[in-house]
Amino acid sequence: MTSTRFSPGARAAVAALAVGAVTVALAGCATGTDTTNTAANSDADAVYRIPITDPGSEIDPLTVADYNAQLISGLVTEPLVSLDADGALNPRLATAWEASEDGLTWTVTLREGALFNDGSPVTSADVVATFEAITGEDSLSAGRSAFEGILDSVAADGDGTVVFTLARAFSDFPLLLTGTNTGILPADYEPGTWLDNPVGAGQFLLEDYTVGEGATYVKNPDYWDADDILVDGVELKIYDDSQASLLAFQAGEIDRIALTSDVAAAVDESQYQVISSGYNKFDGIFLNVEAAPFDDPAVREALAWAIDRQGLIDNVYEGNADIANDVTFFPDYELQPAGLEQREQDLDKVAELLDGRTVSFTITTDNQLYGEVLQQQLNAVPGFEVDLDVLTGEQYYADGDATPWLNAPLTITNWAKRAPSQYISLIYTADAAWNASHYANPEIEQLGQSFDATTDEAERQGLADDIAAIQWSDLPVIIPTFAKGSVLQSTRIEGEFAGDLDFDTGYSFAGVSISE
Amino acid sequence: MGGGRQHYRIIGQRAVQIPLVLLVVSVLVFWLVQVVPGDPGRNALGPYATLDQVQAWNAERGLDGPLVARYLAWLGGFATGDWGTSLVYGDPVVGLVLERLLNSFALGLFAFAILVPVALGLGVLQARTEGSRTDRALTVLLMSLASVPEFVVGVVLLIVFALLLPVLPIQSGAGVGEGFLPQLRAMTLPAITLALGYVSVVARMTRTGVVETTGSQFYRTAVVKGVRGPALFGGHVARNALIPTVSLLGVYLGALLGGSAVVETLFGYPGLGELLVTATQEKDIFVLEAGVMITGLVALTALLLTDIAFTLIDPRVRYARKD
Repeated sequence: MTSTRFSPGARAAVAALAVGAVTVALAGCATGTDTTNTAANSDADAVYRIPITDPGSEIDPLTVADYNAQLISGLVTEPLVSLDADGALNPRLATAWEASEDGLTWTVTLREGALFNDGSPVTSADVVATFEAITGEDSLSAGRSAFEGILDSVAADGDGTVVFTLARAFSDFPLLLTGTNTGILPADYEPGTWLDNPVGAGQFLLEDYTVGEGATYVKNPDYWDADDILVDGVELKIYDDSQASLLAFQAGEIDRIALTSDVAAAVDESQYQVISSGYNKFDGIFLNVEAAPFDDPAVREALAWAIDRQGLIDNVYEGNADIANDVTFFPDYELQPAGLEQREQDLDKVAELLDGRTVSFTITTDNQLYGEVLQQQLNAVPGFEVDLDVLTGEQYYADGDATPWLNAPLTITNWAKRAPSQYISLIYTADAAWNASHYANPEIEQLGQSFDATTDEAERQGLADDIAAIQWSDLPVIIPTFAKGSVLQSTRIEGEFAGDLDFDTGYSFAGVSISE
Repeated sequence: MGGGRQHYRIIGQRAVQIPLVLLVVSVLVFWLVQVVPGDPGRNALGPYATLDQVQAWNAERGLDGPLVARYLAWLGGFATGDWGTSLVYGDPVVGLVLERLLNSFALGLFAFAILVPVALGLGVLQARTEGSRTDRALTVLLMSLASVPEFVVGVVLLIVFALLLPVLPIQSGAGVGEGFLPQLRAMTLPAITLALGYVSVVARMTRTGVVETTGSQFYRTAVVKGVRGPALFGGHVARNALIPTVSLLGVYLGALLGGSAVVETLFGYPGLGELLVTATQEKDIFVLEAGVMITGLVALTALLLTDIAFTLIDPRVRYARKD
């Protein structure tokens, strides 16, 4: 008997081909969420390629709070002022800023000839509308908190001048103009529509944004400083897996990667450029001064002397930090407090302060590595018995009166870089929303307001010294280090960035080019 | 009862079972999202937003009412085609999920197209060489492969084919929507990774089925009657040996089409699995619910089709009925 049917092997092959054909058909149909319906950037060699993770939020310059979302919109929008790596202010859409004698009014002069990418000029009305949107009662901007209690109103003075009226004098007001969500948008901008019409007056034009994949940009030929933008475009590629982004960097698919401990262990740093940008945060050790054992100033001080700060830098920051002295003045701030002894690990002082006692407490944090290193350091010091409670970010920052980060006896929380006196109103003031130490000292609050109110250099120096002395001696917060951002960068990139790519620096690409 | 009526009966049963299963799953997902720590408004607005801002954001999106009322509102919308708006992306959920499903379908079918010939081929080869060095070597190889997680297999493939050689891209999403060949090239590594996760079990089952069949009485009778070659294998071995394998492949097809969170995340492939990972992290409840419903529907439909295929392949199979 002869079978006329196909053999199993042949049938399997036909089935596989059939499935493959369906795959092909579906593959041809498969798409991403292309929100701009334009072609991708094709000239990859002239494009700077940056890895990001999925922003996990809506892309609107007025409300973006996530770093990746801020970068997606920040390459297109332009701030009034930005910072460089040394902490100096760079004029962007603003060319000058000046305070009134009483410090209650700041007059900002806008750059002539600056244009939005739809061709319309950037005017004072646009700046006013942007800041009113940030600070309005119904604002959802993460930047609103920075202006609360400081900015009273903003008004136009002709087309080219904006007047900011403050609720109280604030000598570092220009620093606030470099903050979150402060990219200038047209006065008629409708919140929530940015991806439909990605408007801005910045360095690049958004060419394509695809959810889950990334974004491509081309240089904005009408940018006010277009001559200094030497790359043809930028590409943001989404990698939700750190291993994949590391391999992509090694394979040359992306031009930079954050220098984390995993990256440092996997690559030969000498093959790349190591870019260390300016200071970007501190991880504060917040001590609840209302509860035992940290209601005892001697215990707080003993803890501060027990910490091996260089050990933290080596083991937590991979060297990308500098030793701090428990005060909120970043090393690149124009004024540095004087007269304080630099704290370092001193076990004799610890023994003297504890006077034979053994102190037990728990470290609560969402920063596992920092918590583990600190716990190991302290448990090696006689007189400390330390437990560790590592929470997820959601658990740690949970809303509600009992949220761990504002109530546990000892917490470790990172704070992004701000003006020194801002921290007084945010974390050292008795009724401050984020006063995790439950600290109250009217003197430091008064000193902070005086510091903000004066522009006299000598007076400010004296006030800075007094503020720092209280922070150093009262120790509601131990600040062992100031962290710096560091990245590895492909050697095909030439020129230097003004600072790390974040909102403080306005994502500036001025002077950066790509070699042939 | 005839084969056609049998199929109608299976379909009728599943038409009742599938919605019930999906309903239970939707309740569980909705409830679980509420009890795990975290707040969608806080996730969206960041740590520096005030509590008032977070509450306003949640209220604007209907996330502040009683749980049961919110669930019923969602269920009513879902049933009528209004799947809501993504809390993360601000886009309509229906377009977002179906688009990602299509991408996962493409990747899943590609992986299936690799899985079927490779696994069946290896299984038959092992059966034909039963007890030999080849059989033993393949057994060790396949068992080793089965014990390695998808993530590790994917990373090894990336290192070899994207970093050392390099002939394939690391980010698979780069090829999506850019034509057939770039897309096929970009999908190759994740598809192989997905397929390798199932090859071992399918090959083992194929081997066992073929060995058992070739040791049976009817096989020996066929041989004695002079049946040889393709007729012997196709008419007597494959039809009997592959019944459990086909059932298994049906289940795997459902799993492959629904998307893989691990593989899609590793390779940056914009599929449903990757979307669900983000939705879970950000508590994007409407995307999560819709994604889980669709994934479940795909898996259950695959099971239904497998049952039907089962009855077609083996007419002896009859599903029990109490009457």
